[in-house]
Amino acid sequence: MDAAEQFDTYVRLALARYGITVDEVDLAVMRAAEQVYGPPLDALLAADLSDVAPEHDFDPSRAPSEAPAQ
Amino acid sequence: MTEHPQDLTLREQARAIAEGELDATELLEATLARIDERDGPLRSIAERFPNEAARMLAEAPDGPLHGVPIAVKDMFALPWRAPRDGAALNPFGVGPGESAVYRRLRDAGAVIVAVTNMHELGAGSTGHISAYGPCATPWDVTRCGGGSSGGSASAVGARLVAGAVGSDGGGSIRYPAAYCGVTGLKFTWGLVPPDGYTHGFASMGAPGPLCRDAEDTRLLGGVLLGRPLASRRATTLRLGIPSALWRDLDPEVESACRAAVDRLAEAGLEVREIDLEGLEHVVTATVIRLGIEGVPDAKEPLMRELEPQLSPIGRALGKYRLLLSAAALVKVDRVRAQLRRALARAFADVDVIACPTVPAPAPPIEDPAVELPSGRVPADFANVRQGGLGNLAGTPAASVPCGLTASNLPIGLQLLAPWREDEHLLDVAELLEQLTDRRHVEALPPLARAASAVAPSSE
Repeated sequence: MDAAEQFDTYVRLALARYGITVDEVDLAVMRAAEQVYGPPLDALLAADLSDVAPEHDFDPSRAPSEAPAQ
Repeated sequence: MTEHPQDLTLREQARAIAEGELDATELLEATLARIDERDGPLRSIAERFPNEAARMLAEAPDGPLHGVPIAVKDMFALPWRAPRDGAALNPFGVGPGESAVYRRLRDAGAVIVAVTNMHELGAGSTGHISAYGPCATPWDVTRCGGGSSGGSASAVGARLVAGAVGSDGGGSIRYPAAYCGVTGLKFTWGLVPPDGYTHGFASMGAPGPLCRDAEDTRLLGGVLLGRPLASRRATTLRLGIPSALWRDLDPEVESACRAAVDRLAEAGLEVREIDLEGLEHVVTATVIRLGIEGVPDAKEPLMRELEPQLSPIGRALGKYRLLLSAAALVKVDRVRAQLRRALARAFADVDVIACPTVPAPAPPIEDPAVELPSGRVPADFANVRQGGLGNLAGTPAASVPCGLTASNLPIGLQLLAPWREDEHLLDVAELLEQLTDRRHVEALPPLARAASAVAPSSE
């Protein structure tokens, strides 16, 4: 099974889990999106962010309250 | 008064009405006539309101925008109309009512004359997909007006209205402002109450004004915020240049934006290179956050009703986002923390950050991709790289006109300021206007150079 087939199978099965069907147009759009956004998503998933502390009091209207040295 | 009243700035309209030089009823009629005259190829207006606007005018209190027509993006509830989010309906169940944006405009005496077109469900930076048809820039009606607040920017650029309200969840005020040659300001997150805003649930989006220049943006912005946006001298400010946001740009965009920074430096601003850790993940972080945040708020029956009426792209991406992993979302929030801290550190050394708003000018509606030195990419992907930072961080951000390409397409310079220092952006924008003799904010698109209908008062 090539990568495109794997992707299509994954999409169909994963969405079927939620009772959602996909047609060929859906798959074509998703393949195009995956081509553009897949590599940076993989890079994010592979990135080691363990030294970035979560922002526990997150408030986007203000600067972060803590700014630990990195 | 000999010129069409919609060729006046927002502040000139307000002043002329207050001083009895311009009749607000005639202004409203002239505005509706100009929309009818010019909007056909733009599709910037989703719906116009002659009756409701006349009623608002009859009841308008004294205020800074008394009698002045304003257009509002299709994301805000009005008493007579539910927002549709650029689709057949909004899936979040926001019905007709008094959104915060409506209340603030009404209380300032403004007249809501129309709802503006927007990219379907706010999910794009180009505006070429919408239930109302693709929105064009008045500079070339075969090219995108931007998204998602494309209608607001296009309507202001074409001189249909002097001020419009947009919203910005991933650059959605700034990209259209750049494509249409107008000034757009995304406020610091949370400064305008979220009620009646279809994406009020989001941690990324904020409403904001789009106008021809910084002074008008200050006026309309002050109304939306419910407090004046004070001005101060910009020449003492320090300007930060993040090198990562100055890479892989269309040469004309880079040249115009660098020239703008050079002018500001010559005027006395101290310019410093800065480094922002985490920028390499800004596209993914923005796209995932934007894609997922609306999921819990979308009502299942409304989604079922909407789905057959969505564009094929909108329908497919609505399904695709359900496949995004929770692990990615957790990492996105770490990136967000990293970027916010990096910005906080940077703002200890600089007052405003500058970079191109979009890496390339408005792409064709038929094929919304851009050519960059690295190759051809979808405009959405390229744009979010420049605009996502302000949304992930929550900081205020603006796009100001700074040039035209050889083919007469506008170029925008993006400015970011620290949280709750929204005013600084307009201080810098006003200084840039002065330094360039206002030629970028007064440049007229071809569509607005055509002979215009004359207002009843001037006949």
